[in-house]
Amino acid sequence: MMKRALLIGVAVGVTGLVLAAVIAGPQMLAGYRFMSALDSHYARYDADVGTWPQPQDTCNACHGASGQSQNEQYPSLAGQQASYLQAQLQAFAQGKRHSAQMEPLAATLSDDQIASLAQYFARQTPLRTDTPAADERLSAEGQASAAARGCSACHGSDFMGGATGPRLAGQGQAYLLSQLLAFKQGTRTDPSGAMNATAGLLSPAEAQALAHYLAGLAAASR
Amino acid sequence: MNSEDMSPPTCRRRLLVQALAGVALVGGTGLAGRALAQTVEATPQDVLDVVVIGAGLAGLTAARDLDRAGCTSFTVLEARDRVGGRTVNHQLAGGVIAEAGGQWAGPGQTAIFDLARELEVEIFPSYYQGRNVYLAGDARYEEDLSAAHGNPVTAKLNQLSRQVPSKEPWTAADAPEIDKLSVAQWLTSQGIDNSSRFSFDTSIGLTTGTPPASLALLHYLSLINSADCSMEKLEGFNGGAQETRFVGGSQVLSTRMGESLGDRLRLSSPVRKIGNWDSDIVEIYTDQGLVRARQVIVALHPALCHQIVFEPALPEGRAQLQRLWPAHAPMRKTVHVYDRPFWRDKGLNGQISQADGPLIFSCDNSPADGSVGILSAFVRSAQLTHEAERASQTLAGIFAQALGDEALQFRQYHDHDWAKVDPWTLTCVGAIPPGFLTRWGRYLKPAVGRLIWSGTETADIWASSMDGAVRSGHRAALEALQALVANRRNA
Repeated sequence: MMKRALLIGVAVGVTGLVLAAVIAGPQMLAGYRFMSALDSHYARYDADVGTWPQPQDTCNACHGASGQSQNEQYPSLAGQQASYLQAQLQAFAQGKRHSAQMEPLAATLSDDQIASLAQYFARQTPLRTDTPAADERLSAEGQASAAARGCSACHGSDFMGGATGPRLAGQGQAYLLSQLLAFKQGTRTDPSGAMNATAGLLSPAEAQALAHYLAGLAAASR
Repeated sequence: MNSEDMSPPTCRRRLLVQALAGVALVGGTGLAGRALAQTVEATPQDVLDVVVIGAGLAGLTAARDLDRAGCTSFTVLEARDRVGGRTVNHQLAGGVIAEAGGQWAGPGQTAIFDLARELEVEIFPSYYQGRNVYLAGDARYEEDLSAAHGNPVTAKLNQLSRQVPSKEPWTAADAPEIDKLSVAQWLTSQGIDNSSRFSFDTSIGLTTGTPPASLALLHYLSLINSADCSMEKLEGFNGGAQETRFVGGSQVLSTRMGESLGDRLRLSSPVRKIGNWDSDIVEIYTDQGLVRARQVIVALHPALCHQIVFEPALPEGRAQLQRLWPAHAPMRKTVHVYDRPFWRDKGLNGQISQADGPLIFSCDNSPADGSVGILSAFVRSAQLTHEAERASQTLAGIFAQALGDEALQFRQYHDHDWAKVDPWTLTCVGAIPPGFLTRWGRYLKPAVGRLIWSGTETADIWASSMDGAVRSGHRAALEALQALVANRRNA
């Protein structure tokens, strides 16, 4: 173990840890602690995701560790329904749902990889993506809108997803709003047409209120 | 002067209309109307010799070469209200800038250094002296990389890269075999340890925008091949492609080239559709109207090409290349400004790598005179809030863990998430997956009809870098000039 702390890694460029021939004293201890922390980090990751490498490595930058985004502009995948994730990846791969980033990426995945990714993210613990600045009046408007539009029929009474609709609770406000507007404008289509019909009825202000309300909900565990 | 001399455009127009009407009679009335509508204004004065799409380093270099060759009949169309493409300067207080996009150059990147000399843009060395800091959880470790030596894994990559020509990696003798593997799959076969995994994850993530798990070994070897078959030159600061910066920021190169073009540069003119690319006169539809040209240089990332409608449809191979070219590597880069680069006093170089948090890598991006301290950071987009106040504090906390509490006292913060700022970049450099280049690579460079492809992705050497963009611009201008000559000869 001591030898490992001394011979820490390889020289790989911009950020590379180098082969430090002689490290002594406090520096050796720091190196040992760092290597232990790094080992634990990768051990956790590999236990959770699988033997390296896995396709999840590629998802993390935009969807967060374990699919839990902390940026309201990027959707969380954690705790999302597997059937929804699978359908979306297939829609991206086939060019039926549009995203310059996601379409080519999804097209590189096999059906098995898509199924396995969907199941992986579905079993991750969901959290609230980001905390929108509190606005009780807006939340109340959003809550009333959700009730009036019957959102829970598809998305579940706690908005954690239902038989036909994905989890919305705790998704990022900016992401939710962008998708509501995309459905409204028809740049995103729902095969059943339900979301396009519903979003088509929303004024920009109502869409804003809905997104704010849903983003502020805690993500219930299943 | 007779009447014919006084109004040649009108005469020619009438002749054209007559000729087309004759054709249209054969083709049917619907076609006749369309043909007339499209060609009635196609006088010689209306048709440019060349249109360049994209005012990044590639497009502007091409335009500059056309100009210097005496070709004056061209226009550069740019979607944004600025030039520079994937290079952009943040203007900070006191006339200081920090780059939000591409910014470095290094040994072997002769094209961009030549360009900088010609444009009288000065260069200066990146600051990398001192120790790097590595973070994992609460653990912190620092190390001086100047004593770095090669090791068996990098030596093997360097050796393998000799067989993979950067110009056309898919022609390598064992390309089909190599292209089955991701870099990560190859690395696991070498039995690397966790510190190496961390290093490769970070380095490759920064250089290509994607982790080793989804990066084709073939593509990575071609990048190493570009760098004189040396991964150290590709990835390193000292003696590597990150060694040198441009005074005033890398965008200055494009700004100067753009200024010299005058009104031949049209900003805020996104191209939506390209018609008749297989005919003598190509139609380029922009938000500011229709432009016609005999040759078109498309100086765009392939994924951006896919956002344009082509009529008729492009040949299948080229269309699939554009559709499938990865665009999932947008990159998000932040700036913290300090009174001084305080970390230098402690023997640190400001380079921090974090294994398990929002920070991928930070570096000292201070101006040449070190008059203020600037830390630029590449961050994992979804692991850091979008909201500026909280994002800047979170990052400052990480910097403080690495560099000391002075890091909490920053004066300015800037955040540039390329995925969200506008739709005109989409992605950073080439996050090419296994199997892609051997299947689609051969469609990357050959011109299609009157369309000449440019952009750093098409460079024979240093693809993915600013230098590659410049090289691709030079090549595209030559191709366009040659095509004009050949067309006139055949006419």
